[in-house]
Amino acid sequence: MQGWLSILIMIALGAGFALISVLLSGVLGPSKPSAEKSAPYECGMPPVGDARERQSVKFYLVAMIFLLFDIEVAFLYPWAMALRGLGWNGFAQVVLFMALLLAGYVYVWRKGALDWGNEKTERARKLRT
Amino acid sequence: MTPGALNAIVPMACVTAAGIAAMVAESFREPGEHMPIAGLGLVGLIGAAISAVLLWNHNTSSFGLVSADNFGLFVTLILVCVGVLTLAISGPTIERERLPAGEHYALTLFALAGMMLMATATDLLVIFLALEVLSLAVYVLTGLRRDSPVASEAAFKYFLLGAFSSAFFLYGIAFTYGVTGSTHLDRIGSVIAAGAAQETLMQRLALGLLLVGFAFKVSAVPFHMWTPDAYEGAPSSVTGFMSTGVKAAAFAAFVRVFLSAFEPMRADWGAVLWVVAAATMILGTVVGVVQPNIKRMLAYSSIAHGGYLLVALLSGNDLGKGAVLFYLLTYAVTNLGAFGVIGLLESAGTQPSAISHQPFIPATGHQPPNDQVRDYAGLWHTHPMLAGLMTVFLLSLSGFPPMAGFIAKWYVFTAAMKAGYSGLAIIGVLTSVVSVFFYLRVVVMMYMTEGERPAAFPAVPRMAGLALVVSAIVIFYLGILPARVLDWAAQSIGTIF
Repeated sequence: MQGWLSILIMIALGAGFALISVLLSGVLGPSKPSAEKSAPYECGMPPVGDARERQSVKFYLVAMIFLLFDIEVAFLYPWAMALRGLGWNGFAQVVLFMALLLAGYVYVWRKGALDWGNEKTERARKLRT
Repeated sequence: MTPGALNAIVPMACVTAAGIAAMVAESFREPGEHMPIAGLGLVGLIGAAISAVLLWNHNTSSFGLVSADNFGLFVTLILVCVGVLTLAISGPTIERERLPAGEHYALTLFALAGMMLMATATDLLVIFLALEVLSLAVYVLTGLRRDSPVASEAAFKYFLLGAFSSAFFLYGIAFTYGVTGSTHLDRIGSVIAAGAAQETLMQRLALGLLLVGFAFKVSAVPFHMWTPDAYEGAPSSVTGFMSTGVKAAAFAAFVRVFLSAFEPMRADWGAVLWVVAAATMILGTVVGVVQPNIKRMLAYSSIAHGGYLLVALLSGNDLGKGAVLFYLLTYAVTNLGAFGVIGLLESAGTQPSAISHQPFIPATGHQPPNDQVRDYAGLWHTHPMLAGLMTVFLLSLSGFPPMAGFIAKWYVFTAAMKAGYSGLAIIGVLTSVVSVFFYLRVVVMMYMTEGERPAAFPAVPRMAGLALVVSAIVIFYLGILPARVLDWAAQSIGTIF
């Protein structure tokens, strides 16, 4: 039962911290509501509306790139846990894996896929027309 | 891990490294700057060829999943030929269509690495992985002309149907695992051989699903619908690449899976494959006759050639297995040569301008590509050399005696006769005769019809011209002195079956 007690204390601390933070900010903070502030999300797409809305294709690109490099981290965690058992051999393999991803990252960066409409994509557009 | 444990994957590692180098080089290329990216690919392919030759007869294996036996290495060497020819002939197409050069080469090399993995993999899951690696690269290559609706349609069709067939293949693997408890080919083979007497429905289902997956990739008849559209929409060099490389890799895995692991179930798949092979040969030939577009015509011809390869696979005797390898080599050299000429002629009439090296410029206002059969009228009078080379390639495809295509077909039909498939051999000979009609139609156009071809014609790039001449020489060599290569093919099948 000792182990469970510490978990209970953890839950109580977490819930208490969240509750107290929300209550305190409600009591102490100044209250000046506006339409923008009462929206569910302050940035991004409005959550209610026509589902067939036009979206910038850049979101798609960024989501894809995020997914790819997110996988990298998903592989790194199990490797970090098994680091001692795998030794230098495992280290070399992970370094190779990172180097391959880095090559992809350099490509994505240099091609301007991470730019959100700054001068680099402008230059590319001028070249096209 | 011992030092030699990675030896079996050295060929594909060379190609992958070249592909990554091409990708990084492209990202550092300023718009309009010339870079020898194709040279990088050539270095990687030469590395792959050297390592494949060094591994010959060593029968090495990596991780128990990839086995560099002579069979896989022979296909690897065929793929190196495909890669070198593709790099050499794609220059004019890239210039004319203003394709992104670095991406074109990098994707070609990645696809080649996947094909080499597919040819040497001995585990169904690794075969699936390799299939996806090569397919994803080829889908993108198909749609590389981003401003062309035809290319987008082709890539989209290819992608949707390809994803669908991948699902079939994956379910086949899952059911195979359910029946045998393994995805490793040796293990599957021994389990099926042990329990061959009591075949279950699930075992047959697994076999059928795998068959559908392979049949799609080699564009056998009920699953061939994507082929003409994808081949027509893709840039010519890519069409040549996918019609030869994908076919070689898919047939290598097809042979490995069906003639080793599933050989005990021949009674089940033999009859199905008989019908598929016959239908593939007949439909590919008959529909090819009426095509006005030369790329569509060669697409149907490619379907028909897939049918001949299926006959060799079905024969299953030593002669048939050797014939598959020899046929793949012959077909690779011949078809890439033909598509090389098509790529050169497509660029006729449009002068390469100063801005043509910049990527992603919509090619607006240029004349329609010269890809109809009637566009070849009078080619002999303006470009006798190209017309002569095209004649060699087309005659070899149809199987005329001094060319390699004749020997390849002759071995396939002999193998079929020896294995007792005389019906298929007769269908094969008859469809070959019919196919001569549509190949010769182009030849007649080139030599005996007057054309209104404009005199303006960009000079043939030295690399592409050299590649075409070498292909033609190889075709004659394989056609007149085939013994040595046939010996190699026979040796290499001895290692796995």
